[in-house]
Amino acid sequence: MLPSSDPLLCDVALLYRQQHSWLTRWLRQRLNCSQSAADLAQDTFIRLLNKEQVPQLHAPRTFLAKVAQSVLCNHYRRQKLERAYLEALAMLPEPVVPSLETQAILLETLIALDAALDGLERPVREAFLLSQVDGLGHAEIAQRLAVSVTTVKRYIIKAGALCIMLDHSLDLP
Amino acid sequence: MNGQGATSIPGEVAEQAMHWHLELQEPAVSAATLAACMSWRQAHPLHEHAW
Repeated sequence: MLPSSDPLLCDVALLYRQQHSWLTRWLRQRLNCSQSAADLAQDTFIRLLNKEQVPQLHAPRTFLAKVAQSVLCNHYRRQKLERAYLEALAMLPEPVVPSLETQAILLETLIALDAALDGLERPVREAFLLSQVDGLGHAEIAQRLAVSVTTVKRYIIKAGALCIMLDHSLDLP
Repeated sequence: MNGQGATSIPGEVAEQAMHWHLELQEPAVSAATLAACMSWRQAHPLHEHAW
């Protein structure tokens, strides 16, 4: 590796050299799969590179395990979504099953939407899903969430706007 | 997430698009509402893009 004057890069490079094997083993014990463990170990270090700084580490393994735990959670969430998506695809009649390329784009969009909606306050997310997925009317949603119809509309607009911005930032066809 | 690339849509415009989307989902949409939505869409390329 080239010497670097970037302190963050130096810190992460040092951690990588000292702890990469340990982290991969730690992940393998939880995943039962060497390939996924190697991938998620890389994801963990990439996540560190995206941070502003790596704190001065007295307990590097505790720190790495915490970051890796979050990477693991994302991985499981993604797997769960992927399974649900494949199940939904399997229910479609053959002529309307999208091409593999479209399927991949749809899955990525689904994962991005899931992450975006997850960042919203719970009532905002619920109002939006009850309206767009379950097809409930605004009055019924208002009753369920014990808020006014105006608030329900405000929630749906907020969550929907997020989806519009996401859709265009992904630059989908 | 937003604010990147030439096609990114400002939050305000996205919210306006959602507002019109909800207006058109109402049980009885008036001609005036439809016309207002159309003129919003035509007012700026970004509006149509968001729509």
